[in-house]
Amino acid sequence: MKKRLKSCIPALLAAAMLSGSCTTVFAAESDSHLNVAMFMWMEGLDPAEGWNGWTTMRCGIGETLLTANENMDVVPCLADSWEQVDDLTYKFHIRQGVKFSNGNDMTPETVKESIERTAEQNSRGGNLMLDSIEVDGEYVIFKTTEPYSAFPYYLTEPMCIIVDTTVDTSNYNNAPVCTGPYVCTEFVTEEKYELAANEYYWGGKPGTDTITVLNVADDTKVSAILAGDIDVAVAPSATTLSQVEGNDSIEMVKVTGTRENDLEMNCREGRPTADVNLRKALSCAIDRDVIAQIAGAGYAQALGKAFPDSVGYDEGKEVESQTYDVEKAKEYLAEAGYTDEDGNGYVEKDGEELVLNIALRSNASTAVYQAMQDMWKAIGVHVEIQLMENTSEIRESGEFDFMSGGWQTVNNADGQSYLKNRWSDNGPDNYTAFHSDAFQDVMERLDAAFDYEERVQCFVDAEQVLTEECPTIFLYANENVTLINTDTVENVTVFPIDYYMITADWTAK
Amino acid sequence: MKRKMSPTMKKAWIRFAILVLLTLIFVFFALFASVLAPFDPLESHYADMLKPPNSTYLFGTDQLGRDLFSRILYGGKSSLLIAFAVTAIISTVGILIGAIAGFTGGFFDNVLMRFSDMLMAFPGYIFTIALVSFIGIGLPNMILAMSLTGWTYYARISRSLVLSVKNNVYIEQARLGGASRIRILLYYIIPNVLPSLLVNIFQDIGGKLLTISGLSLLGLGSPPPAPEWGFMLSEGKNYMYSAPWMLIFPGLVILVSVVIFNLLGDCIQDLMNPKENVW
Repeated sequence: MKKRLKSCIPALLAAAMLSGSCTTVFAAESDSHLNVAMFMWMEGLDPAEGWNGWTTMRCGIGETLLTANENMDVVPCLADSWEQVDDLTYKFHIRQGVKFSNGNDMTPETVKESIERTAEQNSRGGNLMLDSIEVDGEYVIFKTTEPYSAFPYYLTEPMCIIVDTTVDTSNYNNAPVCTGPYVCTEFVTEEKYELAANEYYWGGKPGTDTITVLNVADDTKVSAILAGDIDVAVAPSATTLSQVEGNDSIEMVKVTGTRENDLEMNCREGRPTADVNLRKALSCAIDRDVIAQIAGAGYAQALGKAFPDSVGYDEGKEVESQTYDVEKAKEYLAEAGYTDEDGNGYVEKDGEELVLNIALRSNASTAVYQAMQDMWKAIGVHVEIQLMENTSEIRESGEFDFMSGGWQTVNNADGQSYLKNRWSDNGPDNYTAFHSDAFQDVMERLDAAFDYEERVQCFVDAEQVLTEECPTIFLYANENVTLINTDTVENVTVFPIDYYMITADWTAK
Repeated sequence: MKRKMSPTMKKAWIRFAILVLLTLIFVFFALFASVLAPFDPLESHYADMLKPPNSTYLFGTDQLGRDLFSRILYGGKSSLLIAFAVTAIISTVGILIGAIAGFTGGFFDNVLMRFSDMLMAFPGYIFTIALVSFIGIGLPNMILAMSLTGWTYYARISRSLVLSVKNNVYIEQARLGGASRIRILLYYIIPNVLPSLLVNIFQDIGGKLLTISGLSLLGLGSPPPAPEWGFMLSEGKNYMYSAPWMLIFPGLVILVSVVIFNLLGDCIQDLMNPKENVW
């Protein structure tokens, strides 16, 4: 905390100075400006730190060597061509003439150092499996430690945003120097990011001079756009969308979501949910259609497996999903050794009543969890909802039964990182300490699968393991809804992957 | 000697009677929630989610299809009970501490009053929120936090009241008659200051109802699915446009109950200061 405060002071000063200078520069030109309600507010912009790169990407500040377009195809960006040399080696040609927002040239050396910086500092850096990076003229050559088919996809992940490493990077959480169409001129914690067009942008002049990216609560996004306070709102609460249905000037763009919502169960030794039969019983008791209706108000689909249909991996394949079956739930419960002996409506094992806790943040919407609590009561499982100010502590310590989760399933336009991070041994997001030999096997096969069809088969196999061993209760996948005020802004592209948001094309009318 | 009641006093008594009646109705509904409620407040009807008020569901249903009328009845039970409990705790503790401080004076008085000054220096509501967040969210903790911050007000008032009566002749007389200090405090002083404090106590019930609702609204009260007026508001706010009844009815009962208790406090005050013009 102290460290953060210290680093904030020069940052704020710099931001203040920058914003001061920017207003003078841009006031002279036309003043096209947009206000945008951020999707998922996060603090900080340094791609080498945690998930911060996702915000940098959403704000149009940072770019990666490869990127995924609106059809989820991986296409060149800061690298203009690339090839796989052998199972371990990838050769990228770095786009020439690209400048950072401070005017410095982006060179293969800075690309190398930037990726190395992320690989070292980011907790997910190990996912790159990098052995070495070499510069060869205009090329950068990556070598992985073992055959790793996900590598090129990984370069699209926002943590691999290329930053200028030749200057002081200590302030990059507030003002990173990248190559995207916009630069951050001011970051007010919990409030906003002020963006200004990057005068050195290699793709030409961005469509808008300045953009304010605001932290607006999902519940109030609809009201804010109706009031004219914002021009684009990403991911407003589904329950509020009825207000804009049929509105002429506000366009509602829906993209089939690739983000899932679930409840994960603690698989640690000694926890009741370490028992696979109990986990399956809990899963079978949930009527996902009802849950999707409660959560999505018509803008969400029930989900019983790891990948939503929109991802398309299991299209045309026979797959088992988690299903709603109260009788089966009771069977699993009996198999796990739980019965209601004292007749109070709740099951016991060895004379002790089973009581499970769902830990939620005090400001979270509890409707879905109350419904689940009610559904579990129907099979005799006593679940309590526990509200707390901070759930990350118990997530780290492992002292929980259920933890709610919502993840992008195809980060990097590929399912590997979602699967690996969440459910493999030592996965950085494997909060439930789930371990499965079968799952590990599939992950190993996946790493060596360079053929697309083979990869997809691995994704489906992994999905099957998760249905079978049930570490997670999949609940629903919501549609990505973006509201656009067509009177004030045009050329807004909506991407299925939600870390893409602001592009150079956004134009204020 | 019997005196004829002045018209203003008569009005005050009528007002008092009406308010007491209303209070009793509220308390009655709260106490007999389990008999009066048409549905189990926790029972979900997934086929009837977000239904507007109709003949089956008097106040409509919420996002899980639970009957709002039943939830409001049950919520009243817990809200009123907590408000009464908290007010009872803080007034008893506060009055006692204030009376002891005022009666004994000196060092003891100084320490207690400086301590209460210290607590009063914090904005009460924010202090309560901070305390709940710190010791953990839940009903017992909410009561504890509200009690820890609420007693100082009573201590202050009762101390000053005690100071104003403790030098009266009848106290001297009691002392000369050989009454012990505890006896003087309990039988001579507190009965004399209590009526003035009654006004504060009744007015405070309304205030506490509001605080409880506020804390629940922020998710700091009883954990879901327990029905609680403030929490129902918090659940309803996402549906402000699509299902306004989820906000209207809990909001209305909070408003009405707080107003009733505040008016009752005012009315008692009027009755105790008959010289002042009422209405």
